[in-house]
Amino acid sequence: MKKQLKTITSILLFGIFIFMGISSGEDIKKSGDSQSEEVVQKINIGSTYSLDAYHQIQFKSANRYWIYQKPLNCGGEGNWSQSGDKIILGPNDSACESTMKIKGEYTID
Amino acid sequence: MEKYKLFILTIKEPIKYLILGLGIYVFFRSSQLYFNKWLLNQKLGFDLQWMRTYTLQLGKFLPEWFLYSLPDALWMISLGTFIHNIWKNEPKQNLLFWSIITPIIALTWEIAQGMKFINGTFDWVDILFYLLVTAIIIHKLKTTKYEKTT
Repeated sequence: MKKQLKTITSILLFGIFIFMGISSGEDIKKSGDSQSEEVVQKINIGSTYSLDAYHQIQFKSANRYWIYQKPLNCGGEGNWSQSGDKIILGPNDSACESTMKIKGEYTID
Repeated sequence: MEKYKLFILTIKEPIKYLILGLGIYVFFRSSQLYFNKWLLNQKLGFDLQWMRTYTLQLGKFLPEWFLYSLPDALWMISLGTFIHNIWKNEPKQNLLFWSIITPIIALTWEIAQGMKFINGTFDWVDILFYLLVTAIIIHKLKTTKYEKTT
């Protein structure tokens, strides 16, 4: 590589890495469980919400949810997380097909 | 072909460190980070978020230095290795000049955080990791065979 090209590449790299450093900012806090801190802002742990006409969902903890559907009397548990305004429900272990299909991305009204 | 091989050799090691550091960010850190916010809104965001439901739980058992200081150190060593690989076949003073900039940027960055000039949290463990990486860079410089200065 020519010296001039190396100099330009190096300057570009410093720029890219400084930009990456800036992009790593805006963390909520440096200690504790960052996920549960975000979650508390939107969801009340322990509260039950209506997902649709049949399904009720309870956020048991910062990462576990419990889902129940009345007509068929079946429920299940799964993992959940939050990304900005979106709630992501992971797969649950319900025996009912419609309840299993609940996994996905939701927004809170 | 030879140029291609040289290019791969130049980027292989630093990219490895960079991926490791970014991996810690994506799987174990808050979704409120600028980088994670952007990434989780991309096409693969849903799958990543789904994986994060598991990895964030694992993150609770990992030490703080792993989650908060190691990615910074990997960022620094990646940049340092990039610069080293680019300049290693040049005269000693060129390599020294460019190599010293990486620790200066990293340490200035941390100090600026401490003085509230830029966003972020000052942490002595970060400084310790930066010094460790500086030692690695110095070791690399010492073991490099230099071109003769003309």
